[in-house]
Amino acid sequence: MNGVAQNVEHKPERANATRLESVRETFLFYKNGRWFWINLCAVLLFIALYIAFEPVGGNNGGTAVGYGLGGAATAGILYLMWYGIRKRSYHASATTLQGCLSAHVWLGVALSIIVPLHSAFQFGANIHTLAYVLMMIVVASGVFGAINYTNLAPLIAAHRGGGHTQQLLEQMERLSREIANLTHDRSDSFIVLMKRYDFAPNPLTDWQPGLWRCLRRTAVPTFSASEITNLLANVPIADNDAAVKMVALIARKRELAIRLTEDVRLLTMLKIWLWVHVPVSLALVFAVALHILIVFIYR
Amino acid sequence: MLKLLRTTIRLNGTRELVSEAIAKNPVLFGRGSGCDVILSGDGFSLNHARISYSAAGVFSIEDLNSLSGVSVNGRLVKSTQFTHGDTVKIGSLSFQVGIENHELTLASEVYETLKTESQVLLKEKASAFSVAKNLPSIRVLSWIGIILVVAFAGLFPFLDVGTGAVPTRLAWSSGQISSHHKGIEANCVACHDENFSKVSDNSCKQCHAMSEHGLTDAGLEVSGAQSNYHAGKSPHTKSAPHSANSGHTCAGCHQEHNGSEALVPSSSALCTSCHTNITAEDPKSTLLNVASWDTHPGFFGGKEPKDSGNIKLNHKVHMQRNLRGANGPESLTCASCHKLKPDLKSFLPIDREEHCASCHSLGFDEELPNVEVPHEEPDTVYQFLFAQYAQLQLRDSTKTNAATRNRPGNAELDLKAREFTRTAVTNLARAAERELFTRTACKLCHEIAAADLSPKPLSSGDAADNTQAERSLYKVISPEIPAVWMKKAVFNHGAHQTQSCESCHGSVVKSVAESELTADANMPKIDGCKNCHVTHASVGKIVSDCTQCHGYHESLALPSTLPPKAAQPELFSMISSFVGLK
Repeated sequence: MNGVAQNVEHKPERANATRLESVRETFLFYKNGRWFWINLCAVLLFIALYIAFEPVGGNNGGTAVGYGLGGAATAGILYLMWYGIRKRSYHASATTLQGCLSAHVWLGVALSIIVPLHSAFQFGANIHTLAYVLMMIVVASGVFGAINYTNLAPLIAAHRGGGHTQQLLEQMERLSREIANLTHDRSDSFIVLMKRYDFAPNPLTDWQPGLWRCLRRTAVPTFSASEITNLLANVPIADNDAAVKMVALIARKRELAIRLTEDVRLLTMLKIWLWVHVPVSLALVFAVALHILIVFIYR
Repeated sequence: MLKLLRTTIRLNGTRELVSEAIAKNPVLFGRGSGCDVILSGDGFSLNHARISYSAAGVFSIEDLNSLSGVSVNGRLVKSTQFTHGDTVKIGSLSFQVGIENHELTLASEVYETLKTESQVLLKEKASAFSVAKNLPSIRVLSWIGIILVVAFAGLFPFLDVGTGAVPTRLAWSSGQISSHHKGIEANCVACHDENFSKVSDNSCKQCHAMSEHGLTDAGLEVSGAQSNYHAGKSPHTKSAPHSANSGHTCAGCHQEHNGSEALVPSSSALCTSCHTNITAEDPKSTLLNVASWDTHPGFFGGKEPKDSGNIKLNHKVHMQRNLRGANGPESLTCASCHKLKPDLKSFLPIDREEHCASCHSLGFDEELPNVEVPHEEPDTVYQFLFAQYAQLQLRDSTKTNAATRNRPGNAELDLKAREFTRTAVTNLARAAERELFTRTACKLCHEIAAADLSPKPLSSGDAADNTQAERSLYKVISPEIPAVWMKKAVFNHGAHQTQSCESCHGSVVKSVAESELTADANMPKIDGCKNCHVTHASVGKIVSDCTQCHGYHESLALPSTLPPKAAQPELFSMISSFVGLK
């Protein structure tokens, strides 16, 4: 039992954590925040242009500045979409993936300001505003992902450290067998204690925590110490040692289960925004194309 | 004697014990087939360890330079003794040591490894936690999103094409419709003639031909034709960029779907884009360049305008206090003569009967104290005088006694007397005419010239043979009083009623009250306007653009001269046609 317990007691490997830490910092502030500053300057320039330029009839998407901002925003969206190709181009060497990601994040944030300037803050129940709403959903989900990545990556490193989901499950399964091994020739009260406390007699078949319960951190049930103590008191003296050992094994299994579900929760938080980010961004491209088409038909 | 006890713990928790006795000393452990205890697995060396014991019952173990080593009670050892209760670990395999009666027992527990099915189950279980297993694929979601967008934005608006029952096409509307067109917002074809068409000028004229955009200078509608602005009568149409054939459309300037402000643009940039260098747009233009309000040229080209009107008016005399009025002393103000039109923008013309007659009599003879000549054409005046003196002569003749009264049958004497009387009346009328036109009433205000007494054409309505005798010897030079001084701008006097007249007109060159000459126009200078009107927001100032004073479309401007009194010629024309004259 001790040997099993030692196997799952992982501590974050300092070297790994440091490497992740540096990745996390540099993807947002790659090369001293080059892309942050470039996009900030671009946004400030566009805002200044918007304020300085007073077109006849007031600002709108159809003025010279409006067209300029619209063109810039369209180019920006196409560049952001290109990241989906770039991140799969493993042999690209002209740019670093980290630099592209940094540009991707900050350009996306910048667009959420540039596009309203393009439309002169005119919004309505039409497909033009739909394109903006879709873009904001994409940006918001991207920001959610970026925040999760910066906040959760160190936790992932601490939690995993080699303890993959499969290994954790395997260890839980081994503990379950040890527990089952203890039940031979035990009293009924011993079995009652086990059935009450062991939340996953066979983790591979009986335990169904579910992704959403993992996200809500309700996948592993909690027990009151007094209840367990009462059940332990009912166990005959002959089975006492075995019962204490079983409770300890189950407690160990709970720790493993909590670690596993927390890993699942963190990994899910790191990925789940992509299920919004990617489909909506593709829909956005079509919405923008229709927006441009309709505007120029009626222009 | 060494006894090996191997307990295998099955997956279902049952235990299976296998016992093996080895009567050798020493006992060799390892993977090699020559070993006494064969340990399978790559965690062991070929010859891993050797256990030997002495007759005295001392057991020792020796590591044979194995890869994964040998440990006793958790400590790696090269060669050591061990005893009852110790844990000896060879590679990854642990043995519990039991020594009883010089007999060594090594007990080990081995967990049954998972079978292939269980491994698959484990992998499946692990993968069940992944996001991808719990959500639809991103690819499917992407297609759903694309289809929804295309359906809503590309197809949904087609539902009402041709029917207009449900304005689903508003999904394509590029912005808020102006309040002016809100009533036809859902009816796209009111402006867009056909599906997917831009707004044509014809669409605008469907409604706006009746408005000021379709008016000529005379105020008449140009039905179905180009408006005044586009017909070339506006100064703006002289330059090619604004002409009807230049490609500029109504919608080009009057942008819809941008709220109410954009529909009627009022930005000064609209004007200065051309007027900063107007000759570049129209080489024949004589207009001064205007780049901004701050550099706007002075009114009348910066020169002092002169009143070219042929009427004599001395403001100084009229502005004196306690003038001798018809009903006693009277002091005139500006508003005594200059009265605003109901639209409050410009002034009504000066009217003699209303503004002058109470003081300036058109009387001509002290014997006829209450009789004044009409304020009409000189011929009418003379004929009135002749009629008045003839009436006076007739009245006097009725006072003669019976001896001198004409009797029937005395025709010759009657003719002579009539001739004498006619001559006398004519002389009196001419004398009064001369007095009026050269010294008193008419001469006081009007420029007078000798009349052209050549026979008038028949169409004028008078018989040629009696023209000279009944016509005036004088003519009045037409006054030509300017009704609008700033013909290219609209000045709203009503909007400036909080200001006194003198604040703009009073101190230009000299005070109006000091002005003695008709030529003194006393028009304000632009500097006075700039005291209040500015281009950028400032406390106490009024932000103004070009359209504050200037209309873009010519029809918005006031008429440049007063309309002629058209009633008389039209009446004469009607009478002439009635009596058969041509």
